[in-house]
Amino acid sequence: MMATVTDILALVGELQLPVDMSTLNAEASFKENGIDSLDLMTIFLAVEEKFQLKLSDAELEEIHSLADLAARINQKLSA
Amino acid sequence: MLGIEHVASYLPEARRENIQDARRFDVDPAFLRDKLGVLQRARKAPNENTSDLARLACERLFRETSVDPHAIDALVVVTQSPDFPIPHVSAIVHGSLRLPDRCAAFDVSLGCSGFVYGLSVLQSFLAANGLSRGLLVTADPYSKIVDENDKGTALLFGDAASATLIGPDALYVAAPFTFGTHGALHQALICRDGVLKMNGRDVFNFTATAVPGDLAALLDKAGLAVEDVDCFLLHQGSKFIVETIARRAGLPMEKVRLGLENIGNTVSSSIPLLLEQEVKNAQTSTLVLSGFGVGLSWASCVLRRTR
Repeated sequence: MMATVTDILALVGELQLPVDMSTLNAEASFKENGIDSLDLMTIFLAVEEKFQLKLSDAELEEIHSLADLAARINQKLSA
Repeated sequence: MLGIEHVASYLPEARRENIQDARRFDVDPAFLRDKLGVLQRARKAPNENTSDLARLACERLFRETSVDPHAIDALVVVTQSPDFPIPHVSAIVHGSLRLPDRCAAFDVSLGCSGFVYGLSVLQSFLAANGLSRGLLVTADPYSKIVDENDKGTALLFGDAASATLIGPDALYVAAPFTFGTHGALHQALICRDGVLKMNGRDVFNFTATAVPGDLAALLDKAGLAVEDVDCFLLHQGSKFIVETIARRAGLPMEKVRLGLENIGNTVSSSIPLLLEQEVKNAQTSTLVLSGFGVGLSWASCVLRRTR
């Protein structure tokens, strides 16, 4: 299983976060998309549950956008 | 049958204004209101200690009921913020309330799950020993250990205490209970060298995964569905935490109480503070309580109103 940016956007949509899905830009930073630190925790947990993997705190510090997140997931899934 | 006869609380008058305090952390007021859910934090006076808050909650309970302090057989104080490492806070409170010599007094060291644990412990203690009435007190003024420069904790916690009278003339009967512990994660909430440290992500992941499952197990054990429960009193970790649990457990928010906006997360006192309001509300006859936090530990139970 691999994760596409579209998959991640769909997952974020299912979480019903207080963000405007119509303007969500996967390449933009979380902050630019109006995703705060608590929303991020929700997203990271949903990713861990869906893809059955663990993202360390150190890994999360290197993830600044949904595109980064998709890339990191694929890196872990293919490792 | 033994159960909860009354609940009273003590909230210090002083408040810390979160919008003002949040400026140094560059935190948006909307985040305080919509996510943390805390705009003010109750703050004890500098000369007040844990036992003072506990005593004041008990004194209010005695004023609100006709119970004679000399009728108290056991006093349990739930706290991890004692006045001193030795002795236990319950001994200090026992002395200041002038409870009878035959009254048992001991502390229970738990945080946010402590009220539900304490309810089971005290009820069981009274029943096992043929005793009639007990006082369950919660008091964890985290202002003693919070670092005001720690963004992760400085805007969250408030000081409070509660006193719950357990006796034969029960307004609420508590059963069944569920309990659990993830001890491997004990460092996620820890006080080192007198300062509280919290790994917010570990606490969030624990809460979001353990508590909904525990609520489902509790309802199954009780033979209840979500629709059968009138309200859910979840530990008020933050508005975000409460809403996350509700979403993942399938609880409609109109059944889930929120009560931290003007006081903050009051640790072991958050559930009894909500319950104190429900005592006045005869419309809620079946309640679910769930506490979770330090340990990492959790406990839940069903309360049924008798009248």
